[in-house]
Amino acid sequence: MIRSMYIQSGELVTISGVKKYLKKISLFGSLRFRISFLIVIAGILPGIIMEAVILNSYEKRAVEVRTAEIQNQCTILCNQLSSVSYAEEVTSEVIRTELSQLSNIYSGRVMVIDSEYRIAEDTYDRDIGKTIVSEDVIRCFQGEGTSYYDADNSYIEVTSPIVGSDSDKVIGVMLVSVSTDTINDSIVLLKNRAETIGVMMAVIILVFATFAGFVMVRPFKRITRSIEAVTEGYEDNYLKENTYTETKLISEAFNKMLGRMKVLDDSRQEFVSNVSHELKTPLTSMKVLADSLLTQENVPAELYQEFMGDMSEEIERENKIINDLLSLVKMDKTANVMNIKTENINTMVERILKRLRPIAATRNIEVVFESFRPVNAEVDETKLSLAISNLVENAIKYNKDNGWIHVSLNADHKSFYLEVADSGIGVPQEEIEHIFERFYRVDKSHSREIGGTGLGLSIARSAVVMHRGAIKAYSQLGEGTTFTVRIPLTYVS
Amino acid sequence: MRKKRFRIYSLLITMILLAGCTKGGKIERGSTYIYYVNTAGTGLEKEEYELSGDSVETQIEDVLNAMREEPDSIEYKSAFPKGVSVKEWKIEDTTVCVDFNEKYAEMSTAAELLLRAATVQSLAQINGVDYVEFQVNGKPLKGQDGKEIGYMSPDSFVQNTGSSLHSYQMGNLKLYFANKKGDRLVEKEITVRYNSNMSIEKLIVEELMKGPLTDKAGPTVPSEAKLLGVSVKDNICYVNFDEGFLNTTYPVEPKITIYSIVNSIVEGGGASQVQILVNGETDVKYQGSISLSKPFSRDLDMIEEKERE
Repeated sequence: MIRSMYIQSGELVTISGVKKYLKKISLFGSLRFRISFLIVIAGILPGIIMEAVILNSYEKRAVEVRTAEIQNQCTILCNQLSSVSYAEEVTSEVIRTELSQLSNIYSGRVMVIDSEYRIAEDTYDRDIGKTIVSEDVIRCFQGEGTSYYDADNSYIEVTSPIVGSDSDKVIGVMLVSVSTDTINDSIVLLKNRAETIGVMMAVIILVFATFAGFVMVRPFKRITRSIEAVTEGYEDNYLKENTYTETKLISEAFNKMLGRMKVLDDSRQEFVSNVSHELKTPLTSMKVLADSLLTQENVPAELYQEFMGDMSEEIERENKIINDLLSLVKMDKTANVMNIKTENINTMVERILKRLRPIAATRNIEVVFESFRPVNAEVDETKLSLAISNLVENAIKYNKDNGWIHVSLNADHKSFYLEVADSGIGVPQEEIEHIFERFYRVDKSHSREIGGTGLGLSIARSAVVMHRGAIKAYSQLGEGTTFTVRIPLTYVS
Repeated sequence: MRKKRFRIYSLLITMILLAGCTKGGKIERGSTYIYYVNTAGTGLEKEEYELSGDSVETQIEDVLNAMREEPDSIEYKSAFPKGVSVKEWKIEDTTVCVDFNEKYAEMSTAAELLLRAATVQSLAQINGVDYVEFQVNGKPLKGQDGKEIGYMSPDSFVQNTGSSLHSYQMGNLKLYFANKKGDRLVEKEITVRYNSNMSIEKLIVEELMKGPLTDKAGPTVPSEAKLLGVSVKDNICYVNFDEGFLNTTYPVEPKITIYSIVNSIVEGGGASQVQILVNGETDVKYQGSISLSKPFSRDLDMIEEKERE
């Protein structure tokens, strides 16, 4: 008793240990386990079903064959009996021997019943003379032989009518009941054999499944290793896992992502260097101006004034750059609060143009506003104004003297469209996709005299995107540039 | 909510229990039945029936009346065909004599048989009734051969009410097992319930293979052996085992095993000699000492003197 208790607790320890281990590697979640499991199921389940079906049909078939044999024997004996007119109870010794032979061969019981339902012959000598009350016998007296298989008690019962030699009347019934023990024995034997084969098959399949699971998961392991290598350092460690279509797709997608990350990283580095450069330029100018004042002796007051004026301009420029940067950073923030209100876009554009017209007038640039219909839309007034004024300022800045700017506003049921076209210097086709990048300058040599921070279009784009809109640029070098802005009438956060 | 659920559960449980009750009631022992005939007129059906009346006479009257009434179920009908009726009945000792009207003789053989069986089975359940005699118009019922049918008891019929003929029967068997030392045979009498489809010789061998139920005697035939067949021909019983019969592990002398089978079969069955075969062959020496080539006759000298217990 005590010993068995020890064993039990020992088992418990093992089981809990295994459980812990299973949890650690999350066995059921692993693809390897699932593949193995599926193979095992797919291999073993059909075997089990086949075994059941075959054994079942074997039993049916064997019983059918046995029943047919017995019916055949019965018919032969019944014919013999009717020719010796069994009903008159003149049982010849020959017939008796044949009955007992039938009984012996099929290890069954044979009874002959006369027309008064009395048992005239019984190979077991048990019930001779008794009257039999059996549904099958009564039905057999009506002319049809019956057969019945009792699977629970494992025997087949067959009745066969004995027809009189001179008339068609049934004068007796032969009832044979035969044990099906031999069929059951065969079934047990077959079942044992099937089970042995099943166990062997299961072992083979298990081994195979484990192996297959291991092999099939290998590409994924390689992918993991490659990704880990990438994580450790940005090498040119591109994934090349072409074993499966799926892993190929994963590799391609991963490589694409890696490329995009690299582009992002590059642009960030460029941005930082641009920012430092832009911030440094005014400072350098100021330093030069201040130094030249300091090194010279007896500097006239006019020169001081002039230099200080230049320095003030540079400070103004620096200030502008920092302001632009700040507004850009503000728009980049994810948790940005949009101050949405329904605004009349026409008046808004008018207001901006009114402010900018004097600047345009200095270079004799004509600004035309064309409004197709009144437009009311849900927008953040400050941000959208910033975007539009940046676009128009841009158009002024990069325009030729005596040029024109054409602003038009239109709308459909969903969005409104703002178009800013100019007769400016235009942008080369290959650079048009870069113009919305921060600090991007098309013509780097002239940037200084034109002024500006290189952030205007970037800010405009951010503002439009925040309104769930889109901005596009079309340009012809030397002819001019057109910006189209589309913004939904209702704001959807 | 919880109360409601509790109520539903208790209702369910009650229903299940009640279902169990009805089922249990049907197979309860000692109940009495009225026998009917199925609608096809090919077999007997029985329905539970409470006997009323104190004396044997009133009970007989009650049963005969109940048999004539049509049952509630549509699956079976009264065993009395139209026109057939009991004119009178009387009881002498434990024998009931039932007198039918002349219509009885006009019935078909099958209907007559079913009515006879149903009447005997129904009446014999009454305490104080053992036999039933049939009369038609005051004359004893005769068979086709002109002989009187005479007294009938339930034993006169190989009875079954379902479709299968094979009811289980009870029987007493005298079996011989080995004694504790394994050098003599001891006699054991057992009562077994067996399928009437099985021959008595086969039953004996199977019981021997099961071994004795007491510890006063030891088993002789290994239970791992498989019995392939038992048949009787010309007073010789052929017992066919598989090779498992030879691999005995019991501490028993070889001849004890052999004669345990032989004596038991000759005692209980209809054969006087026993031939043992292994896989159908007789060219075998059992335990290297006893040749199985010829049939064995009974040897009563093997049997141990009966101890007085």
